[in-house]
Parts: sequence; C-alpha cells; structure tokens
Amino acid sequence: MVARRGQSVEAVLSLIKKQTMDGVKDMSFRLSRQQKNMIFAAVLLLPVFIIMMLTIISPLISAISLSFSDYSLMSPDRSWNSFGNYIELLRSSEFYHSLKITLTYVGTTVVIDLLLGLLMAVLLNRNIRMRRFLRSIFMIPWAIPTIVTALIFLWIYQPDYGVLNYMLTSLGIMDTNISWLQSMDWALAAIIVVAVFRQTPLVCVMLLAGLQNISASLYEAAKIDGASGWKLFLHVTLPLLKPVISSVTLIMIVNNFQMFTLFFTLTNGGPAGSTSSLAILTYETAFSKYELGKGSAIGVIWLALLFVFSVLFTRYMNRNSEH
Amino acid sequence: MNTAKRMLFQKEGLTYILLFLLLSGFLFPVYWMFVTSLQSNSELMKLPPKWLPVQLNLGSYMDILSSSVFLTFYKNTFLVASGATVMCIFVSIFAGYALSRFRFKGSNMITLLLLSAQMFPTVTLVIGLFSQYQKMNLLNTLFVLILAAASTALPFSVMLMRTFFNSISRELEEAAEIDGASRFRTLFTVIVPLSKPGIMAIAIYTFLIAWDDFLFGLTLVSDLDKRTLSPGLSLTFLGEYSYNWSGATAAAVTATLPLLVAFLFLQRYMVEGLTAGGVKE
Repeated sequence: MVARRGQSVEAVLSLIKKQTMDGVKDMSFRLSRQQKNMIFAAVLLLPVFIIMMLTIISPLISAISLSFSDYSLMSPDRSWNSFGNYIELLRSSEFYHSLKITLTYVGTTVVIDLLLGLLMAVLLNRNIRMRRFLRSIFMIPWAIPTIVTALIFLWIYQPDYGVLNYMLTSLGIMDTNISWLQSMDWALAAIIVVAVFRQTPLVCVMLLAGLQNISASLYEAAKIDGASGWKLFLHVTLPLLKPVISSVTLIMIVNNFQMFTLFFTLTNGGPAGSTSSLAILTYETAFSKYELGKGSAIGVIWLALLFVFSVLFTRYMNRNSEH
Repeated sequence: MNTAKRMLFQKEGLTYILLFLLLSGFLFPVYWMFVTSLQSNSELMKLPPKWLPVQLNLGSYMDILSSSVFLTFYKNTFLVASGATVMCIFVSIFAGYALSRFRFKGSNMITLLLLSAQMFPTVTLVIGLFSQYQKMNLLNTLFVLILAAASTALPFSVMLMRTFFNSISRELEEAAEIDGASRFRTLFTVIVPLSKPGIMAIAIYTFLIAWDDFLFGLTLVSDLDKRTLSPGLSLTFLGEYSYNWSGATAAAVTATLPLLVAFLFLQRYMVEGLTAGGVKE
C-alpha cells in the first residue's frame, strides 16, 4: 500500500514535471510580444526596486516598528511598549517647540528664497549685457557643498574677528559685537541667511526656465492692450509662472523640512534649544541619547505631517490651476 | 521720445544696480573664503580685515595637502561620489526606459513610490538604516554610503530619464527590432547615445548630491579611514581647531574646487536637465 502510494506520487510528480517542461518549451515559442515586453520591463525595473527596498522601504518599516519599542543601543529590547514613545512625545513640550522652530525656519526661508529668486530670475531674463556670464556666476553658491557654506558663514559670523560684525560696527549700525550664533534672538535668523544664500540660485534657475517658456507674443498682445511694467508682471508673468512657482515651492518646503547639516554645524540646536529643529531633535534623541525607539517616533510623526501637508498642497494647487 | 528714452535708460540702470547688489551679496561669501584661505591665522586675527590678499600665504594649503587624514577623506568622498554616480546612471536608464516605454499595473506604483520617497525625512530613514546595517554588519563601509547617495538621487534621475526617453521617437526602436537587435542592445546602441544630455545632467546631479552628503556619512560610518569630507570637515575643523580659520577655509576651498570646475563647465546640461525633470514633471 505504502509502496504503491509512493509509486503513484512519483508518477504524478513526473507527469507534472513533464507537463511543465512542455509548458516552458511552449511558452518560449508562444510568448506574445506583450509578454516579452512585460518581462523586459520587469528586468529593467528590478535594480531600482531593490535599491528602494534596501534604502527606503525596509529602513522605513524598521523605523516605524522601532518607534513602538523602547529600543536603544544600551538595551536592545524590541518589545511593544503600547505607544509609550508617542504618548511621551506628545505630552512633552520639546516636540512642539521643535515643530514650531522648524515651521518658522521653513516658512521664512522658502518665502525669502522665492522672492529673491523671482527678482533674480526676472532681472536675468531681461535683455542685459553679459547675460550668459551673469547667469552662470549667479549659480555658484549652489555648487558649493552645504558644509562648506556653513564653514564660510561660521567665519563671517565669528564674534571678534568676523567680517559681519566689523562691517556693521564700522558703518555705525551697531555699537558692540554680536555673537550671532550664540544669541537666542539671532541664531535662527543667522541660519536662515545661510540657507537662503545656498538655495536662492537654484530657485532662480528653475523660475528662469519657466520665464523663458513664456512666449514673447503674449507680452506683445498685452502691450497692445496697453499693459506695461507692473501690470504686465502681475497679469501675464505671474499667472503663467504659477505652475513652476508651485512645484518649486513644494520642492523647497520638502527640502527645508529635512535641513540637518546647517543646524548641526552652525548651532547644533543651541543656544538653549532655540534652534533645535525636528531634524536635530530626532538626531539627538537617536544618536546622542541612543534612544532609537523614541527618535523613530519623532521621525514617524514628522513623516505623517509632511505627507498630509504635501497631499493638501498638491490638491490645492491642482484645484487652483483648473480654474 | 526723449522722456521715453530716459525712462528706458533709468529702468536699465535700475536692473544693473539691482543685479550688482544681488551679485555682491551672493558672491562675497565665496570670495571671502578664498581670501581667508590665503592668509595666515595671525593676520586673520587683526582688524581691520584685509579685503584683498596682499601677501599670499599658501601655508594652509601645504598643510592640508600633506595631511594624510584630509587626503583620506578626500579619496573616500571621491570614491563614494563616483560609485553613486555610476550606479545611479545605470539604474535610472533602466527604470526610466521601462517607465517611458511600457504601461502596466506596477508602473504607477513605482512612480508613486519614487515621488514619495523624496519626502521621507532622511533622519528617520537613517535610524532605520543604522539598526538594519548594524545587524547586517555593513556599518563602516563605503558601499552603504554609495547606496544611500544613489538612492537619494534616484527619484529625480529616474523621472528625468523618463521625460527624456519620452521625447525620443519609438520608430528608432522599431527599426532596430526589424533588424533583429535584442532589446538590451537596442537600448544601449540606439537609445542611450541619443540621451547623452540627460545622462550628463543626472551624472552631475548625483555627483553633487553624493559629495554634499553629510548625515549618512556622519551616522553610518565612524572609522576615521572610512570618513568622507563633510563629516570629516565638521568633526575636525569646526570642533577642536575652530581657531584655525586659515586651515579650515583652505580645506573648504580644496573640497569645493572639483565641484566648482565641473559645475562651470557642465552647467548647461544641469540647467537643461533641471528644467526638464524638475519643473515639467
């Protein structure tokens, strides 16, 4: 009985094997163009999929799962702590404090970026001498690594020998030197200046590209209707530039929300936590206090906020452009 | 007519004045870095500051270029940036081509994944990466930095290549197919040569991103001989040597020069690429 059953199983197996082999053989001939295309596309997409899995999806999942535990480098306890980190965070004032600083930083920086970038782009779009040369010169700050930018400004802001204090005191604007980065009142503003310095050229290039796409005939038509100067800018340039402005705004908001390098190198969150942005708070919690669980929880809340924001932003912009 | 001319002249004058003001504001810090690096520290501690480098002092550059630690940082950064660039070019060509030419269920999901990946806070990802790579014993390798930098640059690069491939006519591939060329061969002998501007743009973009990386290098690597420039500069020059401004700016100039040179020569591609991939998308 046992033997017979064994035989029959073998027989069935070999039958299945034979059929699938035939199937494979058939397939290689019968694969339609469509199927071949799909296989080719899947092979092409495999590398990007693997990299995204390794560097985005799986760390994200592991950060989310860590955020529900007391995991730290000292005590690798990954067990569920029933929202302990989240409750602790939402009850503490440091999280709201960091959120407020981050929002202030992002809001101010992006507005100044856009205004200065737009001014620059409009000027560089005019029929001026050495236009090409000026355009590439203006882009230089963007090619400088962020850390180098931070280093330059640390020296410019230096309280005793820095050139900023020297200029302001010798022009009579101030009487005494200010320790810009050690001052509760000035530190955040000082960081914003550095961010604007590095980001405005990029904003300018993207807006400039948008401006160049506006056809000259539209301006001609508006001029015939008697519009000029500011009116031309407000009623022709701005509306046509709106899609570019909105995508640039989103890019700059998302990038600045992430800003870590400038905060870390210029002030490291100080003085007295006055520049402790979300990025700094997360980093400090995870890598200085080694509380990886709590650090992840901050990161997850932050991620959720950013996600909701960009969905709303995109929806708002799309609705507006439909009108 | 006369008043019109005068108004035009005034307007033009205003344009140049504004441009001059903006230009000096945005270029002064760069200039100041160069000037500072060419002076000795004792001169830097005197007021008023010297606006022009009267006495050239190359001492700081000598120190930097003979410091084996700095050269190691430099070499590592170069390896990471080149590795990430090569990886990103290949992966974006593949993925961009697939997303441009084939429509299927998963393609929207991949696009969505790529676009939302740009939004994930890097600090959050770094915590996950850290605990994950720790288990896999991959911390302190340049490979993880290459992987991390490539993945930062990927979303934009894939989208840019897709837009670029969209503008290339499909008839070329159909002709190659009739000639009996395989799909891979068609991609590399027909399509890729036509996409050089796009490839140049993502190459510069990825190189700049990788060179600029700070957070990954700071957290995923702790060995001194695997350290890259950004965390290296921050931990060496902003910390214990913060009085050595001449040395710090000389290191900064050295760390910036390759980027600046590459950027000024290849800027055209970069600008074209940015407008194609970033704005129209």
